[in-house]
Amino acid sequence: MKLIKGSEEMRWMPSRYHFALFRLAGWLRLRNARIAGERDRILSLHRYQSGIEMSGVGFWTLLTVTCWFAGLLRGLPPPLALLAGLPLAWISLQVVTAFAALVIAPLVRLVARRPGENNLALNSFAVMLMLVAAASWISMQRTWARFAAWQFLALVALNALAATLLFFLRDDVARLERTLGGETSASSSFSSP
Amino acid sequence: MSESRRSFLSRFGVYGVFWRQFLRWAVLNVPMWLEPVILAFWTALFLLWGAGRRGVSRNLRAILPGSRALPNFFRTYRVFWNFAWTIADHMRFQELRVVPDWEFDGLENFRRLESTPEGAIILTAHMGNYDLGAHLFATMSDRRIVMVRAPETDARTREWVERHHGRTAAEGLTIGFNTGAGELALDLLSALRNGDIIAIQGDRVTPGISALPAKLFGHAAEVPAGPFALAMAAGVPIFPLFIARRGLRRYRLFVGEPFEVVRSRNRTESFERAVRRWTEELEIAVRAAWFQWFNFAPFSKELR
Repeated sequence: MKLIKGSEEMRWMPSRYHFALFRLAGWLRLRNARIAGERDRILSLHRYQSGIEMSGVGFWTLLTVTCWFAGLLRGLPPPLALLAGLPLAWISLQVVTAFAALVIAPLVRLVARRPGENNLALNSFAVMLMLVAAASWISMQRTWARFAAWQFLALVALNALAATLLFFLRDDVARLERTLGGETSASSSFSSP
Repeated sequence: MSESRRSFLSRFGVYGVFWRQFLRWAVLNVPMWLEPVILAFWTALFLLWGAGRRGVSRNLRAILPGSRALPNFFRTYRVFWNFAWTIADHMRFQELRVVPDWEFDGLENFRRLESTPEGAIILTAHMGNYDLGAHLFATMSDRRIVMVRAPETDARTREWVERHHGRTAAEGLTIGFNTGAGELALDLLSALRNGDIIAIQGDRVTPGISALPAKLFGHAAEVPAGPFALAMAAGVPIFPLFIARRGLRRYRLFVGEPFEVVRSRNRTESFERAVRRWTEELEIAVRAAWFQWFNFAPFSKELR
């Protein structure tokens, strides 16, 4: 875990984001910026450190899945269907996560012969794959929810494009991170000048 | 109901060990981008804990005079939400060494605390992330810090927490469990005289701990006597310190001006002055961040 002394603007460092779209946005924001603020805080360089990203993606996923359920509840008018869809979405996301954690992850570890308890990366991939599969199916149904499915798939595709771009920009991104102190592991006393 | 069945069901009580085990499992399995959504759900579920909900609501009525029941219900959710995040952040740190971002207020006082050669007492509240703050200090400083905690009420949870704290505590950080009025006192006094820092939460009195009378938000309350007695006996300053959560894995640490518990002929007056100073700081901090004061029981008998 890397800790650096940073300023408010340095929160945009790409290494603090998980999804490629956000990492690209961070790089775009910082690449020509002059970091003027005082480095008066401790920043953790961790891929899941952004509240905007984590809350944004999480609640956008919840809203999207709510629309999917609402679209499938054909007997209800849309406002009521959305209301009913919210708890269904909330619970289903947890069921899907539990399925990934209790079934998929142990199976993968068994086949790969890699025991362990930290299944975050594995489950993240598995849950996202299940959501893409669900979106693909709903996008082919005759319901207004198919628009919610299309936007989900479009954003996934955009993220894949951003990841490709970042692959070609990886040296620039690494240079930016180095300039901002991203490669320095600093656990020095905060009182030091 | 048989004893064994009661014992089994107690695991699922609010203070039961099941929730620690479940949180640990969740921290290792729930994708981080789903964490806000999952926590929002379980926070809403925990609002079913009537005693905690009512306790927070009553405290809010004292902190925010004139506040009404319905808005306070949503404010209570906000308190529960912040609490869920702080315990999740702490568990994530213990299991995965994920450290939050830190901002500082009162930096000059923080530096004084770090650089003073003598011992010192950090007096804090059940706000923000006490545990992570202590770990941060232990990591960033050469000073040895002893963090005093009240033991968990549930025996199984206590055993689980003590096992995990021992496994993942940072070097330079010792955790002492305050299980009785005098058990830790001599060790803490000795630590202070050796130049160590003692961190104690001074906003709640647990059963069996000696207390001093105080006034908080206009209501009669009690604060633990230990920090003030230690400060007087060892002749060390007390630094008020508060930690407030500012967002996802982002905390602000405020260190106030230190004060001393002056030794005089009139001990009662010395303690009263020090307690008044502490409660003034506490009131300012809690008023500014009421949504992070994790006091799930009424802080005053007058509020029950």
